[in-house]
Amino acid sequence: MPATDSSRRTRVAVLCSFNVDLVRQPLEDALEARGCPSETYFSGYGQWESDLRNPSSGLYGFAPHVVVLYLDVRDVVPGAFQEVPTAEEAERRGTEAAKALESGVAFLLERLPGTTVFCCGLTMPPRHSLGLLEGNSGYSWRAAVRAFDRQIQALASRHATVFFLDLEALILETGWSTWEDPRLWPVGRMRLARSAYPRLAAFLARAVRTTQHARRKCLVLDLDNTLWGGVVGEDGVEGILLGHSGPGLAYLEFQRAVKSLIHRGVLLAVCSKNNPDDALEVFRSHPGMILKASDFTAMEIGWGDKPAALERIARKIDIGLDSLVFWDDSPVERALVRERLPEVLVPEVPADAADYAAFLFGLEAFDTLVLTGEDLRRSTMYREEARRREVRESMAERTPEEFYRACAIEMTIRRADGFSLPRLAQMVMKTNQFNMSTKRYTLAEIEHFMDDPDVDVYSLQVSDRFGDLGIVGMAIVRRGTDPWELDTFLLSCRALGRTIEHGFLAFLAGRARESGARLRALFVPTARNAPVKRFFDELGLTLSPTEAGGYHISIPVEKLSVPSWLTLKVEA
Amino acid sequence: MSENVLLTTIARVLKVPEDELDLDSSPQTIAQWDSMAQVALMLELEATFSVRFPSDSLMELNSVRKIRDALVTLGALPEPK
Repeated sequence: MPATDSSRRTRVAVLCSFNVDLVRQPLEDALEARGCPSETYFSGYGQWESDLRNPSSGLYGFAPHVVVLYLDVRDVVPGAFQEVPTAEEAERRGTEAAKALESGVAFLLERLPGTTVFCCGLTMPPRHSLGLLEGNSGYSWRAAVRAFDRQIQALASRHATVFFLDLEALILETGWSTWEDPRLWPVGRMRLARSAYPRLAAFLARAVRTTQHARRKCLVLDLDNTLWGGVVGEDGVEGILLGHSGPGLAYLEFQRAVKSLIHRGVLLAVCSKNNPDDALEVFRSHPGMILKASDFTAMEIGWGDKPAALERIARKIDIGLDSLVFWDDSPVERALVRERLPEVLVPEVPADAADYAAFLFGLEAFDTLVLTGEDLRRSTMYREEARRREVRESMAERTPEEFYRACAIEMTIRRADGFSLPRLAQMVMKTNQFNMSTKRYTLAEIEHFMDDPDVDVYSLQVSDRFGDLGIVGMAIVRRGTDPWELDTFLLSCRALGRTIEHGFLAFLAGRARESGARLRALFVPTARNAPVKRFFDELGLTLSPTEAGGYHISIPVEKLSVPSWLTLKVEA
Repeated sequence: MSENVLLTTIARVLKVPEDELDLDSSPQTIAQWDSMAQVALMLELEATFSVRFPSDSLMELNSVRKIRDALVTLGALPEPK
């Protein structure tokens, strides 16, 4: 096994109010399995708070990228589940416990700015001192848990790198009796049962993974026995199973689940072996269809083989195969796609349609901790892109410049701020094609750059007469050296092919020129970023090899100018 | 289940070669056998042998012989010959 450079390992600190050391190995294994090799740190029993508040503690020496805070309500809310409190009293104690945690987190973020912090919500044992009085006659323990969680969620909404984790949902999955083992508290200040450790490990690893890896962008669905029961080509539109009662309900529920993904910024596509007319007739006329044809960014309906169809879908949407998730009820199709296109994620779909919706919700591939405006607009933007393409084709006889002018492209450049940060972090993690250095930074690291007076972080938003493309570009310029170093320069693939990269680079060149500085770009070729090489060739620039295997390119800051068909608005 | 399974499980949890273990192995003879390992060992054996040790025995079953005898008492291992 190749040794992993320890600087590439994600340092994860777990601060827990009880002894949870037995999760260490399963957590490291679960992270490794998700492509996130890690080093872990665990606070000693009873040490979580002093670890957090003492700048010379082991925690600060460890310098974590990610901190997980897992507090048990019995350890932080006085009298929890033993007394008989009113709801108001419980709420007060819950809020107080959350405030203590909050100030600890604030202390941490002051010293280690940009650290990702996951705060687990509290969980409540099913049996406690209130019994059936819970929620009655003004008594409640649940009120303490709710107050705590509310306070922590508010904290998370104020800090870009603080997140809430709904741990109680994990426990509900199999129940309290598989989570706690009351024999272990007296012997080792442990609370969790043996069966809880692998599940807690997977749950935490799932959260940590999202800070390192971009999610997949597109769900590609089969039709027969996936969106409806039966085969439309044989059973007819009226014969398929889909509706509000009977076995068709499972498919309706699944369609609702799929639809919810659109609102999480996931694109949908169809890949089905069918007569297009039969399949489209279901979309047009079946009253049970929750999903409409317009919800899909690409449709491949025909008799060709599915791997080839998936490649066409990826090309059409202009995303990598590694952004696709392929859902098909046929084990044969799944095996074929796995073999031919290993980059495509092919989940082992449940055999029973009644399990489809829950299985879809459980897929980690679409996990995200933040939802940006671009995510929400994604499917609309791909539709606008289709119109752009039509116009381009109708103008095939004209020069490219005439097409660009007809588009009325407007570029707005701003300094990165709290609004653009989540989107920038997303792009830096997943942009492959037009990415000069392909350096991957976490949201925390970008935030750190933003605070550094010697570093400029720019966001680029583009709109044209067809619509708003949102934030599609990003640049990081390090000004601490001469020449200035263009550390990161990237454009989302949907912004390519309209000279925007020329305009963006000309802007940066102008900034250097105004300060009397030179500007040098870092280019690291990868399997995917050939468009960057072409860009430098178009500009006629020379690539000088660096020792690290990349290239430096001197940008002629005096010569570059923004193409006349681009309107540039600078708010930076 | 046999005593072999018992030794294999203990060796795996404590990360020691199986042939270093015998009935008299205990925290006194195996450095890795600390209190944390004791709990991990009990939980692992419970899963392997489908038994539940009473809470007051969890820290007391701290030698291979004591564990074997407890498993015999719980009917999870045959009487030793």
